[in-house]
Amino acid sequence: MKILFLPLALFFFLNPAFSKTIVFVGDSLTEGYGVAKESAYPNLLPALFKERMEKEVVIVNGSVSGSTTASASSRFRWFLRSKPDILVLALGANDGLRGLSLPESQKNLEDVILLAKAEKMKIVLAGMLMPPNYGDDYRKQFETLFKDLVKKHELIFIPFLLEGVAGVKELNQADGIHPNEKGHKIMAETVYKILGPLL
Amino acid sequence: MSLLRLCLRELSHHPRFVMIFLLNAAIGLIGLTAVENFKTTFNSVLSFRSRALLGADLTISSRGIIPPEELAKAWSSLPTPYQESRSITLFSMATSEQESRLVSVRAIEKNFPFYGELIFDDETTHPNLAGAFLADNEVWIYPELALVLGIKIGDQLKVGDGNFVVKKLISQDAQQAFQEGAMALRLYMNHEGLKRAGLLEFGSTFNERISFRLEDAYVDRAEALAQEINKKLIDPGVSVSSAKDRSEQVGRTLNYLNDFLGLVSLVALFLSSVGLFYLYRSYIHRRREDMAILSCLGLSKTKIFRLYLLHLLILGFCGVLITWIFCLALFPLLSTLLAQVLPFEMPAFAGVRPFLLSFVVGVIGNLLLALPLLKPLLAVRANQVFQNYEAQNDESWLSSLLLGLPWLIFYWGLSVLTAQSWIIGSSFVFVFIAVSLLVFPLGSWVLGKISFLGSNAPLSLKLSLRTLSRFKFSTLSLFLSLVLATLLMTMVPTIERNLQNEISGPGKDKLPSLFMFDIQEEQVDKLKKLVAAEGIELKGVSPMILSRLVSINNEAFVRESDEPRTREEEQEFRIRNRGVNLTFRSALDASEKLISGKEFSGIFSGNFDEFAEVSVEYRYAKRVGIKLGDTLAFDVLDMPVKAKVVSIREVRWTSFMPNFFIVFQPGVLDLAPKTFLSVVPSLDHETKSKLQREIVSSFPNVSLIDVGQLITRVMSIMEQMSWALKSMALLSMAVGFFVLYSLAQHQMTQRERDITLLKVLGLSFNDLRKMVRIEFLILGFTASLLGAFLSLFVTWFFAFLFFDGIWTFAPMPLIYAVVCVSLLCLIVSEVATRKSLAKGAQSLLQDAL
Repeated sequence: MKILFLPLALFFFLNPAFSKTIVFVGDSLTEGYGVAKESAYPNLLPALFKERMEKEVVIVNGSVSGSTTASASSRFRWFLRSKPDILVLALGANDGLRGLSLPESQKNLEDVILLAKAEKMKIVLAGMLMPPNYGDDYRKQFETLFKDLVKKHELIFIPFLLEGVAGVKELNQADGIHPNEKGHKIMAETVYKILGPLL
Repeated sequence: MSLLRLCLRELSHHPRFVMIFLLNAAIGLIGLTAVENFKTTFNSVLSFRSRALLGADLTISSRGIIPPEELAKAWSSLPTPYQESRSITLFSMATSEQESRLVSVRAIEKNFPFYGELIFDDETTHPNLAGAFLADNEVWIYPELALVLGIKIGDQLKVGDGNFVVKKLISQDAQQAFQEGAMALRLYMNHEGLKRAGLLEFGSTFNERISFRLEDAYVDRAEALAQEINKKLIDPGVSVSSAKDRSEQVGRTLNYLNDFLGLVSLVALFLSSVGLFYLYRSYIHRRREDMAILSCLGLSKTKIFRLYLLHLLILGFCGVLITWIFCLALFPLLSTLLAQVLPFEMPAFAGVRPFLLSFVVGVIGNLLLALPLLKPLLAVRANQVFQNYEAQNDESWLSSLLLGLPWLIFYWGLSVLTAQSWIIGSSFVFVFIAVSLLVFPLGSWVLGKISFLGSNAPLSLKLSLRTLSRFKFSTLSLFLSLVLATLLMTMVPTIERNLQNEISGPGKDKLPSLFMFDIQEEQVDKLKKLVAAEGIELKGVSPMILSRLVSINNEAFVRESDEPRTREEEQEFRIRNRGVNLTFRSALDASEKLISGKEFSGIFSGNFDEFAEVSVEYRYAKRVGIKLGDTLAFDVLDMPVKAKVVSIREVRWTSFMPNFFIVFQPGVLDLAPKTFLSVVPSLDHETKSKLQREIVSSFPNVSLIDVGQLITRVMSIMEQMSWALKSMALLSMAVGFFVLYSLAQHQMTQRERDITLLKVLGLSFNDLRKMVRIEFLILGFTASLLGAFLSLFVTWFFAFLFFDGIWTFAPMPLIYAVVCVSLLCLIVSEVATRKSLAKGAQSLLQDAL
């Protein structure tokens, strides 16, 4: 019996068909604006999982620079073809920065969450914070948007995707907004800590 | 007898000749002074207006606080004294009792802007507002913001932690730009106000900018200074900009205009010089008998040289004096006339530079000309002169070249100085020499042949051809002058026409007023319906798909390295990894033109193993290194797409319609996730406000930018540039015609003695008239035809050198030039022949010299 079990376990473990597929639907922060595609944090994760957990993962990065939550649902439908197991939803920053209607952004994110739930996927919501220049009131409203969704749909939450990166000059590109290669490495660690237990 | 007295006496013996000579010389110099004067004026007026877009001569800016060591580099590089002003720009939320909106906050100092102004709806302006700058608790806002927030002057507005009073509504802001503040309506406060709002904390995203105003003497160097400081900077987040960087379109057109005006100046310089060269050469040649007599009488050759050098000096100086007097009277008149057609005011005088230039050309240029003109004549023996021997034939090409070298170097330097560009000045001189070297031997060969052609021809034709070939050097000299003058005068309108096509806008009614992006695919039809309900058609609806250009001809385009890089490498690296927006459509847009390749073959087959067809915009292709037929590999949201460049196209960005560097044929990207861009055409204020409210309420995700005011401002500058191009082209044409007239006129005065001799010998009036007519028609027609033909090559050469290859075949200016020059020569010869024939032979023989 043991002899039979070992090859079976190895088959499940090593066969890509049985590795988890993680789809990222995000904006420029996740797409890797200004860095090579391979240096964007989603693409750093397979190596981390392999090295630390000996797990194989397939990453599908469906992120588009400059995108808002409005395009989330149509984009996510496109990537459903890859039959993902986990959705990392990392949108909303551009909505906040452009001052778009926050209830509308919340609704757009909720549409994607409901779609993913229908597909029985695990959902990770990456939270964002608005910079202090947007004023305390608006920052609080924006933060609440994510917290409300997490509470309502019992989501796995990354409180702040840019934790340890935002505002640190050495970790960002010249525009002060987009992380550089070093920043993406830190973001990968942040996301790894959340995704690890899900695999 | 002193040389001066001898010189004055000789000049006073030929008053008619001296007068005609001086007037003809002055014509070219007046043209040069006028072109230089109005060029300088145009340049300074338009530069001022473009500087208003930046509000300064140059700025240093950074995301976040400018590092002190980088700012120190700017300070140490700028010529002192200068004025500076600090501003901070950031996005924030402004809240009234009813609404909350994203705003672009700009904190400024009292002295900003240095150029341009803020105009308020009560018609007061800043910085000329009498003593009333913003108090710490006051803001100036755009009226559209007041409308959406439901507030008015005197109401309260909350920004960050601070409450502010709306002091004024801004009706015009020269610094409104596409970049910052384009997405949000702007709000001005002072720096203390910004502190009260508490918006600058760790993690805040803002831009700091220090604007500089240079002393007037250094203003023209702003662009060069910006480049110089940029080279010294290390931090990739810091950049120094001049006014030309503010709007790419305005900047590029200003560069074109600068280069164009530089060329116009050179055209005027060379036109007047061609005229002067011809006149002086003729004058010296006519004086060769006097030189021979003086030599026989024992005057040394050095003294004769000095005497005629003094002649040239006096004639040149008098010509310049006439020019100055004429210009002082002419320019105010021209300025008044121009003010009626130009959309901006033009001062009559642009300083002393144009006047100095005419002095340098008219006097110093003359003196340098003396050596190659006088030296060969002095070498000729007296008996040869009286045998009507053409002295130049004895001179070797090498010695002529050596004698002319100082003059050539002088003109080279002068060309560089006049065009204010090393490349333009040098290439112009090169073209000029090349054309002269081509025309002279060619003409010489032709003249050698034509004397045989007319042996059996009627008398007047035979005489014409013999005259042309007998005075070979004189004919060639006039022929070359006519060729060069035609070339120069057709060159400017041809380039002008090409540039006009590039910079002209689509007309005010076709300019967009609202630019929309982030439209979702499922929203496009609904949005079209909403806009159509107002009787408006949505324009330029274009899908946009983000991709990465992975490779060109299998060579990696994106870079994968996190090695330490220089500032420039860092910028290049980021640009390559930033991705490229794609679109797809079946055919060219009205604002596009195919430069090379072919249109799309149709819809893509669907077989992704095959190459899809793409069209690439030519400036982008040049920048990135893409050529026709290259294969490109894209990564479209993790899907590899192969493509082949089937066309390179030119986009007229002044149409202000959405467009892309790379366009795919349909059928490749149709299913990829995408968003749409679109524009709403020009609307009146009320309809626009209503439509904006409706779009925001029905499509809250769609971002709207009100581009109407900005585009109108950019177009107004472009329109003024277009006027500058037109006026300068007309002016240079006019100068060309005057110079041609003076050449033809002078040639006729030279021919008067021959005509009289033929008349005395019994030739009929009719035959004489026919002879001169044929002679001038042959010269005028062949020279103008050759000049026009050469101008095709020269304009093409300059277009590729300075105007990004903007060149199309424009035959009309060439046809006009050939017809007009031939007619002009004919008319001048006709009038002069009639005048000569009406005079008695005795009087003509007396003053023919």
